Amino acid sequence: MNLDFIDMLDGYKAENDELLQKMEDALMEIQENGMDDENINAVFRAAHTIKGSSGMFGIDYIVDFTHIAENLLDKIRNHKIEINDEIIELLLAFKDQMQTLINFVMSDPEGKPDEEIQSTSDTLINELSLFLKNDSTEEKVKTDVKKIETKEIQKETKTNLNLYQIKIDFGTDIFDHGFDTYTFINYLQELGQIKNIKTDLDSIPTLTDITPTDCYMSYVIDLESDKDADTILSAFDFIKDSSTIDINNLSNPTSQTPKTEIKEEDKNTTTKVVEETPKKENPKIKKTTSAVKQTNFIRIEASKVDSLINQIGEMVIANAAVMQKATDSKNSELMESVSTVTRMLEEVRENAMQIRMVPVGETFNKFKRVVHDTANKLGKKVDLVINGGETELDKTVIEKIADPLVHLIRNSVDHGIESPEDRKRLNKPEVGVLQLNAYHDAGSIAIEIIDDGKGLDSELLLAKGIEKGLVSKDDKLNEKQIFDLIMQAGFSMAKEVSDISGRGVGMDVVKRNISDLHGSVEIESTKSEGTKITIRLPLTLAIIDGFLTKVGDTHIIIPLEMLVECIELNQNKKSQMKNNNYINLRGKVLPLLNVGEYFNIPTNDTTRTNVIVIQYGGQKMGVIIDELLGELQTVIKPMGRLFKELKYFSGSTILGSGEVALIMDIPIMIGMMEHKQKENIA
Amino acid sequence: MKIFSDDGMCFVDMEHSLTINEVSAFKKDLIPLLATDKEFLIHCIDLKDIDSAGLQILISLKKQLEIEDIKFEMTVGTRLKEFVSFFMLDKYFEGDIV
Repeated sequence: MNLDFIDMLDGYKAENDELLQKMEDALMEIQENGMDDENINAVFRAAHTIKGSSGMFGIDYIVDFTHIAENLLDKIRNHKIEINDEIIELLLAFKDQMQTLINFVMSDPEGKPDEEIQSTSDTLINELSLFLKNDSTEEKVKTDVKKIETKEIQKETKTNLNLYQIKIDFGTDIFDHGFDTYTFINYLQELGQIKNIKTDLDSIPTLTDITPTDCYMSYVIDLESDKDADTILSAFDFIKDSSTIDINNLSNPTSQTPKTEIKEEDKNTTTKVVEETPKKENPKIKKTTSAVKQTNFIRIEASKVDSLINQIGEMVIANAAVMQKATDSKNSELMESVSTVTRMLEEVRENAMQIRMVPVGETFNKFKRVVHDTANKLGKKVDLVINGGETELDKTVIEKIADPLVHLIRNSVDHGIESPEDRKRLNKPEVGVLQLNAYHDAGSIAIEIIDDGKGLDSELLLAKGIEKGLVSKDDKLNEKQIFDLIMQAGFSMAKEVSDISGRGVGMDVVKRNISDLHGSVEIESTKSEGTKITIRLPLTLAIIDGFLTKVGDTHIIIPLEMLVECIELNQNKKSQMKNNNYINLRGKVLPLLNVGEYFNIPTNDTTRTNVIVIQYGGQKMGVIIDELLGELQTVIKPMGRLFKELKYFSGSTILGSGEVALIMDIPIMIGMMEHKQKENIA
Repeated sequence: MKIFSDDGMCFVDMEHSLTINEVSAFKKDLIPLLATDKEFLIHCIDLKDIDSAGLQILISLKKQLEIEDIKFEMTVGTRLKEFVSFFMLDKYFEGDIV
């Protein structure tokens, strides 16, 4: 590759990853809903842009690999070749190989792919070529054509050489963006033969007037090429927003058509392709184009956002110290000022956290492919229905749950949904339905994976659990506990080990991954009807709104999102309790946990105690604490390995006074309370 | 970049690089000399790295010197020669290259 661009490789990968995902989404759409111009154009555009940028970066093996697919896609979008399942599968494999090649560039920018990668590329090129050949000869020659032969095919197609006159007026800011006019013009040599370059010297100011870092370069280039104007224009994809590019086809004077805009989205730029004899040159408007273009997104390195959030976290802690000192000083004006700063800091924090939030839909869409591949492999028919894709979640959390979700989805398709024959026999529709739902629920996000398959057989599961020694015959387990067995290490119900599932490693890893994120997994299932797996996760892992409380001398923070209300537990209510661990809360029984007693914290002998009602996953409980100290922005600090076993607290934070406060893990507390109640009943 | 100015003659040794990273300093350092020197020799024999911004500033300097009737000369190494040829500017610099 061209090492001048090595610093831009991260951007190259990020952009191409996005394009490949778009390509996959569009292909899946075509497979589901049939061919439509919009989707096939999206696939073509992705391939075309990746080829263009790879050419710019001098990554020839990606350019070569993409070329045939691009030709095939061009014919499909022009309705010269009809798309079918075989082509879609091939294009999906092509997309995967592109990803492999791009990953390879990242790992070894200067190297060439090894034999294995190259051989896969060659095989795919050959297979794609066969469809192109079929278009002209109507026969499929299944021979192992090597890459050299593929290039010959390309050569054969070079019949119509056109002479283009390309007028390029580079944007003033292109040097600032790390581009060089040489690179773009040099790349044109890949597309044809440069016959002449005329540099517009008049546009370059004298030394006293020049701003050296601005680009004043304009060129008129004569290029002989067999490519269409669209392909030539793509060489300038990176700068088309700020530069003016006119392409005139000099060798085709008959096509004196009005100016043709290449793409709908290019309408607001000055980039045009003119397939006509040269007319009067357009007035130069390059200095205004970049100002006209509206930018809606900027790409930022994730580490920069992390660093910003960490710094805001430190500011929150420092601000708490200032607030403490202001309170101690009893200076009301100072306290008011600090309160204003606190409020503003809270807004800054919320905005910063918002940067990290991304819709889960982007990750969910990737699962279409997982479902498609798994179902195909197993000969099953499955529809994936996605609900709540717009629900937002912290990017770190999304990244960490992607793998567990893939496992759960594969399991649902493999073990849950029956084969079309079995479903027919059971009077179910041949096509199974797998639902992926996401929604916010009490400060957490719930993700459901629901299938309409055969469901879990609790008797079989229990028998397997006994056989594996995970439970004894005498254990009295309820249905939920039996279902939870599948999340224990070494438990697998698959009769045969396949590459999809059935190795007995997986569900326990899924549970561990989700627990590491302070989340939980819940299984509900009805035999013959289906299974629902619900994952609950915290919205963020960095800063939360907390409620500070005190038990004895220990500070405890309750995440505000899970706090329902605070009640004073006066002597009257205490006497009504009669030593029971529950109270009557407006006609409903609320189980209580005395935090001081449970954790052996020496408490102050106060007559006033309080109950905080917390809620998670539809369950409520009350925790008894001594003092309510109010809301607090809480920067979550990990507890460290030494406290790994301290499972009822998910983290800690530093208070303004410098003291440490423990953050209560509400899901664990509620789970423990539920377990305790069941034990009591048993 | 090293600049030697003596007796109305300016000698600029571009050393290894004339790119976007050097062009601002190039302008800043040469502007004051336009008033004093009557001959500029830009020594680019050892130039290993040049980009469009570098070429642009050379053109800009040549234009300035032409207006002010100051002599402009340039030595070129392989890299600069290739670069100038690529843009088909050999003729433009013809006579300046020594």
